[in-house]
Amino acid sequence: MVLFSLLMFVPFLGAVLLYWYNSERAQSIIGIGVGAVVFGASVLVFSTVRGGDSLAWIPRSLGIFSPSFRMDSLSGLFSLFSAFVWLAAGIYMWSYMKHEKRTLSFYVFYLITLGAVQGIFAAGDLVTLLLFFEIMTVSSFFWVIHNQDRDSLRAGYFYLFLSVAAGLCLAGAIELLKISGSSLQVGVPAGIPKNITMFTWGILLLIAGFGVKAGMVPLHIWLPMAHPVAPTPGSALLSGILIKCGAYGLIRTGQFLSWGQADLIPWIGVFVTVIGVVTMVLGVCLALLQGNAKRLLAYHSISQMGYIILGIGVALFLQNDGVLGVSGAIFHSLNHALFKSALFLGVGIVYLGTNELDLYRLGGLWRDYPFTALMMLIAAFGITGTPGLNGYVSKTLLHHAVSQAASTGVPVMVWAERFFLVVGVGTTASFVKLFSLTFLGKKKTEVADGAGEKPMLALGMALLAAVMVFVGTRPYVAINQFIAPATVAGGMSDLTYLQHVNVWAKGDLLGMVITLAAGIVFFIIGMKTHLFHYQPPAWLSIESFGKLFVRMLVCVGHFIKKIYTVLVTPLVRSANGRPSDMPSLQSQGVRLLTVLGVIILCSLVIQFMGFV
Amino acid sequence: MTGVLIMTAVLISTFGALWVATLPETSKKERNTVVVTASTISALIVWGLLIYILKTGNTLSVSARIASLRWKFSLDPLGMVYAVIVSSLWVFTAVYSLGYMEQDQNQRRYFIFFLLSAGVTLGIAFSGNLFTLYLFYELLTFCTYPLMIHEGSEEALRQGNRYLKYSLAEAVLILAALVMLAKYTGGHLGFGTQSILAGTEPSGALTFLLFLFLAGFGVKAAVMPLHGWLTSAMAVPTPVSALLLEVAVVNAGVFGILRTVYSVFGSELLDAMEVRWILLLIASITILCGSLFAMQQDVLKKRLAYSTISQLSYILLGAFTLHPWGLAGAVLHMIFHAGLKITLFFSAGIVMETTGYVRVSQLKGVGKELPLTMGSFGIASLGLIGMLPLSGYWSKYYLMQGSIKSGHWPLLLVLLISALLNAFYYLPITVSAFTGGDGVEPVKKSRGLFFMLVPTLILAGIALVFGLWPGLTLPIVDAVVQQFFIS
Repeated sequence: MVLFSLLMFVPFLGAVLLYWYNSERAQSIIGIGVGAVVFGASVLVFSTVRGGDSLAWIPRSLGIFSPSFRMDSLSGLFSLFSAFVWLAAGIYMWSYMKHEKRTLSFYVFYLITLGAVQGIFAAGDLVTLLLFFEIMTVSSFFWVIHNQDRDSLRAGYFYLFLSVAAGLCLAGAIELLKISGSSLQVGVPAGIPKNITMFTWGILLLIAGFGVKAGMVPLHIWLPMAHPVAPTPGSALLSGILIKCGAYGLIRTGQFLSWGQADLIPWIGVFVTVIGVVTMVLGVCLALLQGNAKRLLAYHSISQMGYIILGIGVALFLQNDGVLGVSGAIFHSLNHALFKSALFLGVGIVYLGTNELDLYRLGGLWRDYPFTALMMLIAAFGITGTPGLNGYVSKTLLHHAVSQAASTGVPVMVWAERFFLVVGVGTTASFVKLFSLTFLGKKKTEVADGAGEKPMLALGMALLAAVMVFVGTRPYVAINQFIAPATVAGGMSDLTYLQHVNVWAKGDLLGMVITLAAGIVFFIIGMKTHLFHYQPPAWLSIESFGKLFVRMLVCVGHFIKKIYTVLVTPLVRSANGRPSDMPSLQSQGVRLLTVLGVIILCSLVIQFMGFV
Repeated sequence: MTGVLIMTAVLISTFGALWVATLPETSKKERNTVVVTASTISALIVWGLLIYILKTGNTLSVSARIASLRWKFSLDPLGMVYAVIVSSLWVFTAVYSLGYMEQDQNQRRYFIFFLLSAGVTLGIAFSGNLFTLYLFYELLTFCTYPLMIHEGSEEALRQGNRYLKYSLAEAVLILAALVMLAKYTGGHLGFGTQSILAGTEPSGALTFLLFLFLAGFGVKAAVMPLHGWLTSAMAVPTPVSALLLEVAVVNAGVFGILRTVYSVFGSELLDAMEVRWILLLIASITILCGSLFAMQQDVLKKRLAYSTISQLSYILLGAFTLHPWGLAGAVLHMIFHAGLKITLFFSAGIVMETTGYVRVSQLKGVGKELPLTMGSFGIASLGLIGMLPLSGYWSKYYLMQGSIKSGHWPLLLVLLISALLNAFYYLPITVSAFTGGDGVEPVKKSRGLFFMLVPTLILAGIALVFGLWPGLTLPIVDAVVQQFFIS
């Protein structure tokens, strides 16, 4: 109970404390302090549950709502790395927030969101999870609208409405699952439900609800708008951790289905795989077209989430043999959290100095930012899957899983493997683009005085990079100590494939090198032919879809109102009303109703007399 | 003893009203004391009665024959729900009114009718037969009318007229239904452990009777298309529209429909009549149309009024499922919606009173001047959408369970879509209040603001408490469900 309170309630307390010590230094200290406490607690939790136990805390309930908390090594791992990234971002904010307005509100929501995210991982049943999910939605919304300009408000509304819809999907899923007779506990297979139709719809709603947060196509539309407009630490945490809450939910959903072993929904594996592949491909294609550094990274978050969803789908497809898919998805969640937040933090440092996010107006900045450039290089190598860094290991696991699925000969899986390689090429090309346009070549912008690298900014990135290098160079330590226990807790008991996997196999190394080379070539061709400047027509943009949707709703409202008027008008034309004036029309209608009522009443009274 | 308590609860506010009537307009302090004390005492008595009937499980009744009319009061769980909601919120509104009415010239008249209506609503809640219910129901119309036209402007008079016309139509319809029912049952109109019409065979005449009742009570419950009086009542003082119109009066209508469905017809008879799908359809249409129309409103109060129309039909939807879970959801939503909606109106009232803005588009940046007010507004709107740490989630949870369990899964979609529409028209208000518009004029902070703010904040806090401990309401909800389903 103490550990759970440390994880979830210390951040909330910290948020209250901020109001008392309302000074800039105090904000930074409380931010880092709370981050450190939560990180310490999550280390303790993970070391306790790593052996396969689980921690549980069930507070005294008062009837209807009985919250429960339970942590096993899967939630422990997610809690661990999110606390770590939060701490790194907190250190980074020490220097960064001096350049932002309204730091108090940002710090408050930084802490509340931390508590909410830890609560999501600690939740022992779906209702408790939903509770923290909604808190996270509301508090992270304030990151998105932090700048309070037109762009951030528009992005904020998209984020808010889709997240509310996600929460409603989860609420609906809870209803359906409860009625279908399956348990609502997190981390426990559903068993055999009584009503399979309800169960199927419940699972689909669950996938949709978590899919919104995970940036799953076609529910991703908020993501590329919302992530770039937040202040950099906010973007880093949104892209690094918050979408992992969606991934966590999807992994738990897979576990809920016993990874397809009970064959409750036979097509679910293929379904999720297709969504994963579409997400991967669409994300990377749109990322290549972006000129804005933060938008490029945001689209890459979608693409990388596609890898994770693909892993889950493949595991559902392979059922008992899907261990590589599950462990790949878990591992890639961790890795993506590390390198994506590092990349955002790096872009933020450049932005502080140049006030520029447009890649085509940057260049040659490695002289001003040598350390940042190095860290960005490591992170970029990580995300492209270069051997020796963390991304390579998880992508290899996922690749093994996909080839295993492809060897069954199902066409979807065969195509999934082909797309897997293509997306790798696209990823490489876009990160060559990001890095070379920012740090190499001719210098195009001046860096403001005194806006160079600061120790705290560098420290935040260095922490993340250190872990990336460690994981990349000693993959087996990471797999055996962290990923394997989490996979077991995620409901996959047969670890044979994971124990025998060889990440340094020649074929994989060669494959990755070829992918990297192809990516570089693709980048050069793309730059020469101005392929990356292609802008899709305006009607295809997300904003226009959003506008269309809202306009549609308003039209439906008007239409119904019109029908309503048309229906009511003939009723009251006979009375001396003004036909165009709605309210007066209504009151005429009432007069008519009264007359009708009186007639009915009179006839009844006459009848009643007769009866007596 | 309990009989005395029931009568005291009903009459204490009336005594308070008489006392206020004897005080001159200028003796403000004494009047304020009387108003708050009277509403507090009647709330305390109601709470005492609630605890009594929950502890003992008895239902008690007092009846008298006055002027050859059979008056009957009785205590049952359903009536207690309405009584507890109204009398508790009356205390908050009394405090709020003190602040809101501070500058008003006609405070005496206002508070006389304010207290009279309090007694009348308790009369509705405790009425033991349909006849008593009907009399108090009509008395409510006439006690609230002077409050509606309080401003005295031409606009207010016109709106008051419309209210009277609607109420007249409703009175006639209910009376017709009463006469017809009396013919059916041979004059037996009392609520008991069984519904009045229990054991009757379904027939066309009964269906006609049902819809007569629904059309009658549906006016105050603002079922579309009988909602016109509520959305046009805009020139009403905020505490009046907050408590009287949007909580007490409309819930009286809902209470009437609940009585019709469960005490007059009974779930078994309605099930046999096979009208459930029509009832559910009416409720669903009102839910969706109410939300859709609310989206188009720019006048804040009007938007809230349309939202009320939509939310009231949630309660009806739950009742019409004729399922224990649905009824539990209906009762919960009656409680939670009353608290949340009154919070919204209180905060809207503070904004309108201090800034003079009445339109949503004018509210940009207001939250920076009135952070606590707009904060409560935001919390209450999240609650109405049904987001979890707030009470609104739990009533929807039960409503959804009830609608699926009674075999109507499309209602799940209706509830989810309506919740999303709620988000569309509520959240932008709070968001724009806290983000847009830098050049907001500073607000003059009067003493009245404090009286208005405190009840608002407490009510927002209560929504949070109920959201985390929804089990607090379990005893009363359980009692209502047992009353109509298990006995």
